[in-house]
Amino acid sequence: MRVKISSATTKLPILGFIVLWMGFHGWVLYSNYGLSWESAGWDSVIFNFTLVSAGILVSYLNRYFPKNGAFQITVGVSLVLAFFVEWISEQALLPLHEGNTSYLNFFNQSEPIRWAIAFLMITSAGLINLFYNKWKEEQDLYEREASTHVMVKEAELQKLQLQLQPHFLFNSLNSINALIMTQPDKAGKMVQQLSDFLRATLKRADEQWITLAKEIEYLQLYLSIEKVRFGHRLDVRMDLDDQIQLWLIPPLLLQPLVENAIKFGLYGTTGQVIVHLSTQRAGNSLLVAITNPFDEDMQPAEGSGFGLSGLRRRLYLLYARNDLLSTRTEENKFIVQLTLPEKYD
Amino acid sequence: MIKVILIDDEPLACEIIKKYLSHFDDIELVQVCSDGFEGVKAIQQHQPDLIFLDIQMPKINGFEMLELLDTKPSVIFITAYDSYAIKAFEANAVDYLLKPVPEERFREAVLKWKSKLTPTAPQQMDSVLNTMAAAPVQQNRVVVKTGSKVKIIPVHDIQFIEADDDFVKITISEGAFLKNKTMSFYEQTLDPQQFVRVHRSYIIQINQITKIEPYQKESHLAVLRDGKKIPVSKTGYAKLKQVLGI
Repeated sequence: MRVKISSATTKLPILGFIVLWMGFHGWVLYSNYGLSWESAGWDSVIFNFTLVSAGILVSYLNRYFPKNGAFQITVGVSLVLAFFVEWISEQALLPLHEGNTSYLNFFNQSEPIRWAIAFLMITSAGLINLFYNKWKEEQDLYEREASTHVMVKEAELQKLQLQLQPHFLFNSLNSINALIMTQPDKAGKMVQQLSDFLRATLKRADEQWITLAKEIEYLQLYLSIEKVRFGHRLDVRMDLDDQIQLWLIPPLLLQPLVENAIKFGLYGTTGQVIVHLSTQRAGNSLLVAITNPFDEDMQPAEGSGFGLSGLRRRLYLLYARNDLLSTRTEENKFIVQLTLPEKYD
Repeated sequence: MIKVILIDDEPLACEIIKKYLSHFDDIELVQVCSDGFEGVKAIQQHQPDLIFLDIQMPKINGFEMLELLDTKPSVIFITAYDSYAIKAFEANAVDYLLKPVPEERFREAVLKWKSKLTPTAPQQMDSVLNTMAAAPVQQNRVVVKTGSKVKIIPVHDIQFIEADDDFVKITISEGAFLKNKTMSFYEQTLDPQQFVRVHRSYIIQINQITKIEPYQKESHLAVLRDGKKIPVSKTGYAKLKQVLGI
C-alpha cells in the first residue's frame, strides 16, 4: 500500500515551506530586479501556485507508474510539467502586464531560470514521494514478516513441546489392562498416575516458564509410570541441587530428555539400566546432566544424535543459541549435558 | 498340543498374553522371552508352531530377530504403536495385534491361524522384513549370527558384500558373516552414494577403496584399505566413476 506524503504530521511544515518560498520569490524580484510590489506579488503567486499544483500532480501520478521505470518516468513527467508551469504562468502573467515593457523584458530573460527551477522542484517532489512510498512499503512488508515469524515460532514451539509419545501411551494402557486382571488395586493407581501425567502435559503446553521443582515433580509422575512397566530393569537416580529449585526453566524440557535416556537405555542395551540425572548451578547457568548406558554395537539414529534434534530446535527458538545441548560418550555411558542461561524476558 | 513362544520385553505385557493363552486347552506356552537374543535360542531349541512377537525390544527388534532364523515359525505380531510396521503389515496382509489387546481380538487371531485361514506365506514375511530393513531404526545396521552369538554390524563398518549361493557374505575388519538376503536387496537399501555394486557378485563401500587398477580386458580391480582386491566389471567401473565424480 502506498501512503501519500501529506499525512497530518508532514502537512504543516510543507505548507510553511511553500509560504516562505513564495515570500522569498517575491522579495528577490522586488529588491534585486526592481519590480513593483504588485508585479513581484503576482509573479510569485501565479508561478508558485502552478508549480505546487504540478508537484502534487506528479506525486499523485507516480503511484501508477510501473515499478521498474518509476524513477525515469518521474523525471520525464517532471520535464513535461515544467513546460506546462512555464506556459500557464506566461498565459496568466503577460495579460496582467500589457504595456509594462520592463516586466515583459524581465519575464523573457527569466524564462530559462524559471523552467530550470520548475523542473528541479517538480522532480524533487516526485522523487521524494516515490522514495517515501517505497520505504513505507518495505517497512510494512518487514512488519508483516516479523509478525508472521512470531506466530510461526510460537506454533512451532508448541508443537515441539507437545510431543506425546504414542508408543508410551499405548504401552501404558496395555500395562493397565494387565494390572486390571492381575492386581486391580495397582491398576487403579496407575490410571491415576497416567491421568495426572497427561493433565500436567496439557497444562505445561500453555506455560512459558516453570520452576525446576515443578518440572522435577512432573518428571516423577512420568517415572512412576515407567517404573510399573520396567521396574525390573530400570533404576533412575537423581542428584539435585536444592539451591536452584526455584530457578525458572522452559517446561517439558527435562522430561523428554529423561524419556529419551530411558528409551535408549532400555532398547539399546540388555540387562539393568541406570539413568542418572543431576542438576547444579554454574555461575549464571543451570547445568543438567543425564546419563544412560550405551552399547557400542548400537547405531544412534542417523544425524539426530539419539533423537535430540527437536529439543535442539526448541532451545534455539527459546534462547537463539545452538550450543546449549551437548552429548558425549564415555566408556559405556551416553551423556547429555544441558546448559540453561538465567531466564530473561 | 500346539507349542507357542512369547517374546516381549515388558513383564506386564507378557502377563496378559499368558492369561489369554491359559484359556486355550490345546496350546502350550513353552517359553516366555524378554528379548530377541533369548527368542532366537528358544525358537531353535523348541521349534514352536507359533510365536507371539513384540516389535520394539532391547537391541534387536522383532524383525531383526526373525531375520536371524533359518526356518521361521508362524508369527502373530503384537505392537503398541509403530506406524512404519503397521504399514508393512497392511501392505502384505499380515495379521497383527495392537496393544492393549482385547481378549476377543486375541482369540480371533489364534483361531484364524489354527484354521489356517491366514497362514503367512514365506514371501509375505520376506516382503515385510525387507520393508522393515529399510526403516529408519534398522537401516544403519545389519544383524548377523555367528554360531550361537548375534552380532550387530554398523553399516559404515562394512567393507564389501559378496554373493555366496543363496546367501550374501558381509565382510568387516573382524571377519565375514553370512546373511540370508540377496545382492539386489542390499543394492537397493544401502545408500547408493556410499555403496556401489561394482560387479554382479560384489558391493563395496567406496571409502574403503584405496586405488583402482586395470585388470584384463575391460575390467578392473579395486584395492581396499587392507589390501583385499575386488573385481570391478565394465558397468561397475562406470557406476564407480559416476559416484566418485571422475
